[in-house]
Amino acid sequence: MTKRFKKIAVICAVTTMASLLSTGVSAISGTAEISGAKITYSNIIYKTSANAKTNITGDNSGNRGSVSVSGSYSYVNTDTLIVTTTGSGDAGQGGASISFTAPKKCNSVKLVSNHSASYNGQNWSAPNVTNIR
Amino acid sequence: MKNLRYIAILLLIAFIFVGCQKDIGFPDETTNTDNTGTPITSVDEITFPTEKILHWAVPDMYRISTDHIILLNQALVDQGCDFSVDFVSLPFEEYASTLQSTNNIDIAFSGFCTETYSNCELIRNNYFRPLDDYLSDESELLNHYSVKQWKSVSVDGKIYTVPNTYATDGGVSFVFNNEYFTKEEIENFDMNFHSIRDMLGVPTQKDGFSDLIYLIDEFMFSRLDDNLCERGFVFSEDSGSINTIFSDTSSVDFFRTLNEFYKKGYINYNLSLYMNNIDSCKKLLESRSFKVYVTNGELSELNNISDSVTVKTTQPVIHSRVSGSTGIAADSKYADEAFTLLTLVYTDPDILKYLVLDDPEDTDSSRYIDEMIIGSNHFSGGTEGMKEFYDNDVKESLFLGFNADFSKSSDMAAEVYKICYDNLDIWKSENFEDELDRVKKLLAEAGADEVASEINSQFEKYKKAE
Repeated sequence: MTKRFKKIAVICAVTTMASLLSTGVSAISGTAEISGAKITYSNIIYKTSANAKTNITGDNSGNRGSVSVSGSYSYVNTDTLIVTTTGSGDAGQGGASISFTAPKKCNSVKLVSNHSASYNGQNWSAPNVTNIR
Repeated sequence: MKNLRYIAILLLIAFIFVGCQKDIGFPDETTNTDNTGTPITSVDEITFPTEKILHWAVPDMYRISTDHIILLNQALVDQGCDFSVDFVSLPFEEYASTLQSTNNIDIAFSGFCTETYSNCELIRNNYFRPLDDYLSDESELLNHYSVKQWKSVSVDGKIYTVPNTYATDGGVSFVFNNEYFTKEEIENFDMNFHSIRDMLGVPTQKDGFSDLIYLIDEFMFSRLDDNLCERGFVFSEDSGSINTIFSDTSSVDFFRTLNEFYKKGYINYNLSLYMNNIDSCKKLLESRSFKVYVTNGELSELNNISDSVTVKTTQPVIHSRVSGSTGIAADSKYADEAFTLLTLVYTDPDILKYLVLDDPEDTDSSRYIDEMIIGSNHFSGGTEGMKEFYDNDVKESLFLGFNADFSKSSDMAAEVYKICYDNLDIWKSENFEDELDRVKKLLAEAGADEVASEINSQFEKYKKAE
């Protein structure tokens, strides 16, 4: 990575975070490592939608590692104040993601996500990552 | 030197995150999901200004800082109160059961209803103290709300909780693209969904254009006829009876009309009653590629095309809504003080601000989750004129004050709800009548008639007792 690109990347990161903050997004993210493979996971909740992701970056041999993400998303209808909870899951090589959208007249309440990864016989998990808008 | 600059920038990023976490409510990864039934007091060490401390139970997504609790209690003392308040955070997922097993609660959020649970169960289990004795004609709290709002939270003829004004009551909006209709045609529209049939004309059948956009999700279509729908059962304002969405005449008519519009080609996008059509709809709306748009709720999606459309909205109807309300625990030692506190919170913004604002001096800093749990939208929506709005502009449902008790047939009711939910999109079927018969059979087998009969019988008793 060239120095110029690094600088642009840093500026982009700052811009993205500032943008996230100004829009009131609630985000949880983290990283981990197993057998030298880097895992990143995130759980983001917006006023009317949410998503969660797990990614793994393995070595250059083509072994990407397997990951999964599952979660439950709760939203509230602002007319009836009835809360609905819905679930979803995804698994794959290298990356997995789930996303939710609340119906009209509904606001996000909570996203609980479970992340896991396997690489070269080693396992990692982050259960019950709980995010409230 | 350059590396130092990068480190400085990274530190700045970290600083931004840490510095902003508290203000915008970023939770950390250790957000408490304790479900052992032990209350988690929000503060460990606060010197309360009074000996008497009230405890207010809230679900764990409500967050109030220690600083705000201190400021709130000081403000209460300044108002002459001889009590303070602390908050007890309970797990959202097991809120009702944990609340019932937690001692020393004085004020409690009553919990949210779901499609298979009603917080009326808590009330019917005598968790809350009736407020009727406190709500005398002179009561500031009583007079803060319309009689209709109080009726919306009454259970079996008594009031146990304070209405939650974060919830809104609005009508259904019919949005006409002015390019396709004369003023007279729009003025003569009778606010009946089925009457759109006479206005849509020849189907356009062009890519990227849908004659009709319908954006009312799931069971909320019942509002087209002013009806409430709960657990797949429609409370019909016309007939005064309660039936499943596949037996209620107005609901079946709605499905038939939607089926007809779909077959004729008036709906030219992937409409589903379940959800997730907002983006498709927004694109069609923004490019004004529609004739009629039917929706409920706020209309911010029309901001850029407001000059090109005419909106007609039905009169709002208020239905029973105990979900999300707040009351006084029946075994509270400090019921009088609790009522005083509720009165102050809901009628005095200078007290309320500590409970719902990130910054008490910035009235734009409210968080909707906190407002929703405390039960006031004073800072985000405004409560000025609220009482008059309900008194003058909102129609009272025939079923206002009635809360069906599904607990006597809960398994059957849950199965009926599932069948109704799973078949919401049968209006897309090639042969709708066959599909309707199939679903009706399923519902009959699941005991829908028995549940309906039980609920209708409850309503008859309610009317007699009223």
